[in-house]
Amino acid sequence: MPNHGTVQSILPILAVLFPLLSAVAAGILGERRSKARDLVAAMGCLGAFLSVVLMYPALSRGNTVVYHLLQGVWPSGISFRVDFLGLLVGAVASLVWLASTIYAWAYMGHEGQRTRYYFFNNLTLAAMMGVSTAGDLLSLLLFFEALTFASYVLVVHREDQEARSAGNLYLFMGVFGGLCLITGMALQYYFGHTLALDSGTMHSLGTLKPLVASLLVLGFGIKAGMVPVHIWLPQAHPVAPSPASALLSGVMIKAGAYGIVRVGLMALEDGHGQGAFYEGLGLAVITTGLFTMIFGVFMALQSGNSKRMLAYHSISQMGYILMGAGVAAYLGLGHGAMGFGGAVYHIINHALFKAGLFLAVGVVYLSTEELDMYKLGGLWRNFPFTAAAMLIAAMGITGFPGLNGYASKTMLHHSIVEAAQHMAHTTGSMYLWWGEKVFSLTGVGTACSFIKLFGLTFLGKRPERFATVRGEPLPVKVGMGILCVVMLAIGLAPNLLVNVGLGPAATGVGYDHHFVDEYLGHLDFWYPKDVIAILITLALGLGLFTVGMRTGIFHLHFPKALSIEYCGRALAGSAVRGWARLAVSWQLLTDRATRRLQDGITTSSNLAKNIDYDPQSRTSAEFNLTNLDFDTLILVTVLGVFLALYIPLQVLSGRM
Amino acid sequence: MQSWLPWVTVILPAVSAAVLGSLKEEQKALRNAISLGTALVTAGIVLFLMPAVIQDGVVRTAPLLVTPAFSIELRVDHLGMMFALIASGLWVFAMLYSIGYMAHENGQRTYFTFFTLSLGVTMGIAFAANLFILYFFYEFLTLTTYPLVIHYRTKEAMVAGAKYIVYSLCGATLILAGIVLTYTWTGSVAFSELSILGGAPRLAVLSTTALALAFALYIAGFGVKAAIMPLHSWLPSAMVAPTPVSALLHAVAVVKAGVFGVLRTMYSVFGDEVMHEMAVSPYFVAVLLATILAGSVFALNQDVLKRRLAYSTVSQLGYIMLGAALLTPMGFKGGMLHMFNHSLMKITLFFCAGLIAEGTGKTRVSELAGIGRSMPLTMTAFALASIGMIGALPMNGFWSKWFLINGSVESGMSAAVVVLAVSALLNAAYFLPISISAFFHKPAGVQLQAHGPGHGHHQGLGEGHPAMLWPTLALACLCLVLGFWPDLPVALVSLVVQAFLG
Repeated sequence: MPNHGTVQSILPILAVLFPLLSAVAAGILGERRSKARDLVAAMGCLGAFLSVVLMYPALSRGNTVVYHLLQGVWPSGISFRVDFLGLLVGAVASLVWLASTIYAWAYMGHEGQRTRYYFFNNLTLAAMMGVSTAGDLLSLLLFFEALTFASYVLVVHREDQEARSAGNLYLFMGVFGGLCLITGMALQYYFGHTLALDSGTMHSLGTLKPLVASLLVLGFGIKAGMVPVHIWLPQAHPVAPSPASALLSGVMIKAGAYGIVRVGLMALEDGHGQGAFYEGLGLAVITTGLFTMIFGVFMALQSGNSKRMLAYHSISQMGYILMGAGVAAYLGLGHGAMGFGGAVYHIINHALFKAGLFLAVGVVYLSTEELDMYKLGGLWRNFPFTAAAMLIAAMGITGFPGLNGYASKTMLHHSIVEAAQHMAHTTGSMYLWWGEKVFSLTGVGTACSFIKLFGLTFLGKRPERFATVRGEPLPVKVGMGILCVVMLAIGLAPNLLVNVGLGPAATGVGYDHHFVDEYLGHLDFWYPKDVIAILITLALGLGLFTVGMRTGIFHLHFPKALSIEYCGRALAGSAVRGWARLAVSWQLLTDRATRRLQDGITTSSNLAKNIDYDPQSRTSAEFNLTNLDFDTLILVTVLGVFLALYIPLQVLSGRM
Repeated sequence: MQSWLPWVTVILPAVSAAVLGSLKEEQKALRNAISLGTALVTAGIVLFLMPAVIQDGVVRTAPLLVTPAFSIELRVDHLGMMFALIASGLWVFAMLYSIGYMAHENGQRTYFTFFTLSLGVTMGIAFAANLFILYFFYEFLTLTTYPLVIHYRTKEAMVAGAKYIVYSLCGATLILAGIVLTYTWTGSVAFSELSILGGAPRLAVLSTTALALAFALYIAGFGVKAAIMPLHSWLPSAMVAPTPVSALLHAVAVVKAGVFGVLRTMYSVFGDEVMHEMAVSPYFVAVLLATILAGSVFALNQDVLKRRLAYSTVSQLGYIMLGAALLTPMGFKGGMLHMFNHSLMKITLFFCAGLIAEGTGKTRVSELAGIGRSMPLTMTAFALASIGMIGALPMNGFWSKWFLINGSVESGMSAAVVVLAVSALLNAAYFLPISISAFFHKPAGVQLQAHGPGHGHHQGLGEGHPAMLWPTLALACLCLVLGFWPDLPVALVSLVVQAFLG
């Protein structure tokens, strides 16, 4: 293996600056020069993409690209450090952003406030690029928080009641996640003495390690849509304009996944990942991932709103990624490479196909104003290009052989099988064997769900009112086209990305390179057993779809009282009421006390007022002090003050 | 180093105030020029003194009227420097803002006279060389700011003023009692490198209980201006004052004078060794944590924007004193840093509240829906400062929180970590909805005449008077810049911490 040197380069900063400056430029150009503004916004995304890609030569020689800014109070400055993991996330993020921004040229014509949209669109990209290139936890947090606040504006773009309440949930959960991160980082910094994003930096935390690791996982997990802190996601993603939904659901939640992968690496023990804690952490993340994946697909099957359905699938697919990251931790630095590679691969692939799906659904919505898939049908005649794009993306997400999702899902499947074998071997437990079944079941549900989406939207009988809706404008085609080309390329040559990106990424963060070379490098994606397994899954999905459409089980809904949102609202409602009652009573109490004190003092100052003899006044009569001489009053006051000071003085200095 | 310059910062505003008081009500331009000039010169002198203080650690004036008990002299140390820097620097901004705000108000002569006089008094507090001088200026601050609180002379204002006077004077009496005790025990009231009770030989029979009682006297005394619950109630009432007064005095000068007094008590009068010996800081921390939480909870229920800001101040002042009371370098650093950052953020928020009230006549949070459309710059400044108050990263408020959490961990008080986190959430809950409704809600019922007559200038989008708008924007930008580049305040704060905790 080549050496692990570092190269100083301003490319990481450029990756952040391009979108940042183009955001400002777009804001200045404004509605009056809208063509130039649109172009500048897309150029910013392109600039970010190129800056990231240009780091590849340095990385391929085994170096990491670093840059430090503002060293001083910041424990390590605002530092940038790009390894293969960061490069992959950054590249796919900026690429999807480019596609979505070009798409928005046509789409945003139907929404207001376009200048604001482009400004925050590019600002969010700047934050996202910062997340993927940040070199230490604090710099990561800086960009992560900026991401929350900038993307909030994208969520509430419509400014209607639905968007605002979704936005509120998103913002407050985001702030809460940020607090978890700050607390975890403060503990890590104080006890671990470092905030570097290197493998094994949590080593010196001792007994605090579980606390710090769970705080960080929770903080990142909120953004990643991890169950049970996912509740903002199905509300916030559908209400945004479609190009923004694509970014939120395709890319931004990956910031959370990326964070969790990094935390997993930081928690490595002694640099080689053996030990009960690390296994436990891995197992916990696997379990969360499995729950997330099955829950997401279950909710997606019940959704008639196509954007909401896609949002639930995002949750489900994030479950895959979490599971992969969990296996990576569970199996340690040797065999965990498969889980790690699968998770990162799926981060990339999910970004591509989920963005593609949201864009395709957006095209249909743009012309038909309809998101309920049960009311659509036969639209492939109106939107041939969109239908093709959605087909590619849907085949990707279901893991159809020959498309990008197949590659990562195969790797993830290998990893869970291996984890199950490891568990059965060491403890005799069948727990992860069942986990593998959940994985397959989710695959069936996903296949069914996308057959449903594609079938109901583009095939079948076309309702009369949609016979004349116009087709897709050019920018929309370009946007979706970029994504489709990349998806097809990855799908047809799945080993390429593994060899140039994922393998080096795994060895770069500390995985055993013999294992990576042997196992990842020579992975045969076209192994018949894998292909047959996935085909069976798809067939089962088709079967489930047929049965479901006949029996109407897709219209069954969970009882409301069981949903987290409902319970949360009920709980929060009573908590707020109790809290308010407590606060008011405390306020009454203190107010009463202070009012009494004040009354007392006012009374005594009224006494003082009476020194200018006014026998007629009522207060004088009440307090009956008019008889007192002015001098006597002074004397009494002085005596009082003297005693008040003298007695405690004697007591304190003399006796005590 | 010896220098007579510190006296100038006290006497110049007093002289200017005398001149301002003797001007006629109509001599507006001259009055504005003198007020602004005084603030600028004072801030300039403080800046000029800064290198010497950083180099020598202390700058003092020649003592006048030396008696065995005390002498009249000023002494600039790091802590005083820090407070003076914050106060005099922000005074310039507030003075500029006042000129815009007061342009159409009555009683400008009284206003500017006492506003300028208060500057000198605040400098006196910052540079006091012993407890008696500190006490003198502290009392005086109550008196010089009283006319500003009752500026509008309404019944509400008069009641608030009376409350302010009564609370402050009662507090000051307790401080006097504390000072007398200190003097009796040690025979000295002068500040020096060592704390008064820790450095000087004191009566051997003195028990820690007695010391703790004296500490309680000081804290209860300074705690009135520092708005420690349950002594805070004057602060929300005092919001009837004109907005620049609320901004400067009730977010920076007066309340921070109280906090400054508490810091002096802990580090200059008692010192960290005696504080450890008395073991009172856990109790004090408990009171502060209650203040932080209760302040935030009260703020949630306030509909009047300035009252919400006032309760937020109550809570945030708790952060500063919490940092100091942790008695660890990190915590103290966080507290001092928050003194700096909170001043910047809170004055920005108050300035925005004033701009809104002046431009549209709206003072309630519930009326602010859609106001971001007509006043985008003002509300952007407000949003930036609110994000800072939560302690999220691109803003300066993060750094205080970062050091405070580290300090809490350092001193082993995990309760403080939890409270800081919960309070940050509450901050988000009462600040963010304001910006959200301003930018993303539609105004309730479109008013034909959005801006009533006689409410200042309305150019372009309906932002306020430039003299008010620009200081606000400058301060908001400063909050953002100091989020990315916190080195300067942290360096200054580190000097203070080094001076007291080694």
